[in-house]
Amino acid sequence: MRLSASLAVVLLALAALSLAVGTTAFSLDQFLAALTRSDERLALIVYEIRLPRTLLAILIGGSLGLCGAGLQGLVRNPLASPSLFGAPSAAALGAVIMISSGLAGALSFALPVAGMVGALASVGALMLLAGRDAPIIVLLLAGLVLSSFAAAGTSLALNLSPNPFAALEVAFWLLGSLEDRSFQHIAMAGPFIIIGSILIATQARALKVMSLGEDTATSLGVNVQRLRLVLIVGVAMAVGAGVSVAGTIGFIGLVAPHLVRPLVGYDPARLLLPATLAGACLLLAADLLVRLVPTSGEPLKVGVVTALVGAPFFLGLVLRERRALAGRATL
Amino acid sequence: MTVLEARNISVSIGKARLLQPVDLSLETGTLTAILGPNGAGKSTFLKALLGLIGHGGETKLDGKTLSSLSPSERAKQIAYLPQGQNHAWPLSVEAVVALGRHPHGGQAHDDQGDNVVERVLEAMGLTALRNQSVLTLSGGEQMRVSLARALAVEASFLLADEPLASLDPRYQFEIMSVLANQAKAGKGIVVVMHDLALAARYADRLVLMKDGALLADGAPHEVLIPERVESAFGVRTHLTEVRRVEGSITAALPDRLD
Repeated sequence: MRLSASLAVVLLALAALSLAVGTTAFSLDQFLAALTRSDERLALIVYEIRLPRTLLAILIGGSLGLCGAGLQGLVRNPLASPSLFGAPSAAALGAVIMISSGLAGALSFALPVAGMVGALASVGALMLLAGRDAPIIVLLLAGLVLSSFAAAGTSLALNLSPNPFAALEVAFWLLGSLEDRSFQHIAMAGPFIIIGSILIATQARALKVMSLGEDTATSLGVNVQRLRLVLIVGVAMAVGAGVSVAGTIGFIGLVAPHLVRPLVGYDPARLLLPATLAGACLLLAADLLVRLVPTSGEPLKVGVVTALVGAPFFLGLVLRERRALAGRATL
Repeated sequence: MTVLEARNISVSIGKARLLQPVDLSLETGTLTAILGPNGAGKSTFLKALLGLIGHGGETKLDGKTLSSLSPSERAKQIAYLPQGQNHAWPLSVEAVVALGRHPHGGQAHDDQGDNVVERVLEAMGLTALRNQSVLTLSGGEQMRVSLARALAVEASFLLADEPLASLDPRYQFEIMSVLANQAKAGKGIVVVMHDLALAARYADRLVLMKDGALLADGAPHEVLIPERVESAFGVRTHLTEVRRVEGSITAALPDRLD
């Protein structure tokens, strides 16, 4: 609990920074004036531009951290994450099909729904393909195939897009960004992200028992089929909805649980809340970095930053787990 | 007395039949050892009995079909100790033992307000190791933790799949005497094992399996006779006197290949 409290403090500090930092530079006085709405123009910047962006970062980052912790507990391996299950790419495919085919506008509810359907298809297909007690190598390879397939589908949709400008816009959107998001985006995705996250959180105790393996967990009264279904649906909702408003933001789900796991005694149940908070902190921090790094043209995309930081981190994790991976034939 | 009854339990994978239809009635207050060569279907039988794998036939607990009970009701009645427990995370010894209370809503205390986790940790000599990670323990210590976790369920039955595998003699005696004492205290203990001498010494009842079917079932001195052991395992035997807690029996134990 002390860990979660500390993370919450960090999160609040980052959130305050996120409200204060941006293209328009504020002095402390101006910031306070904006917060208290005594300066209407500045208040508009803080409440209508920076606040939704900040809230979205917390929602999406937090849910990604939670999804990673849940999936890692389910497959009993620290290398699992929504990206490795192909969920974000499949969600992106769902959303891109809706946008490029003109079936839905960028602010329609059809978008998160399509994203969730894509993510559900990919995570569900992976669990089916891999079956029970699949070795991690099978899961990773199957995940790789599914994300490549989804990426190919996305490329095809862009390729065939009748409008090159729309295609370019979609391509940029795919990079993952929280820029210029409004409360309407939060209204679109927020409910699904929150419901998905609650679904995952309800499985905390079952995830802890899964530490002993599927057979022992079943013998202890865990309904493993139901656990799996609830987690898949929860992850698909949270990731699908998140991707459909912010594009693909990778590696938060891998990194966040990993950072806090030793601090909760490796307990998969106690991990969920701190992993959520850590995920929110990471995405907020990455989004702050994006705003602070000067670029000449298009501003840096937050999805690019998380991937740049996350990929080497994942490599390090693989190298550290090398011996365990070689020794452990099955999950 | 509670009865756990296998009725026509059979297991097939594709066309291969791993387990012929088996009828077996197991009782509380008894330590039953299931013996047989590798591939005889012993572990498969335990898993099917508990419903961990798809199977034909049904298991009845005091006349009630097992699949009609809720998962947690079933879990409160039958504990399971798998072969070679592998831990996904380096949880502490205490945390692992406490997982045995999952069927009871995670409550460490029983209905009398007694702390079961504490009691089991102490009984298994794990109090000093309670904060240590299970992954840093020796094989023998890990088995003690797994058994403690299974005992913490406080179920009427405990099905243990080869709990003695890769343990040194001291730990083998230790685990068997814990199981024998549990049976004496009124639990139904079912152990899949390979050491016939230990089975002869500690078990009340032996079930001998081969090729997915029951070959013999009875008291140790009735089952461990030369013809049965020789035909089941394909080895020569010699007759030995085996000391038990009370008295001793004569048993045919493996001696050599032909």
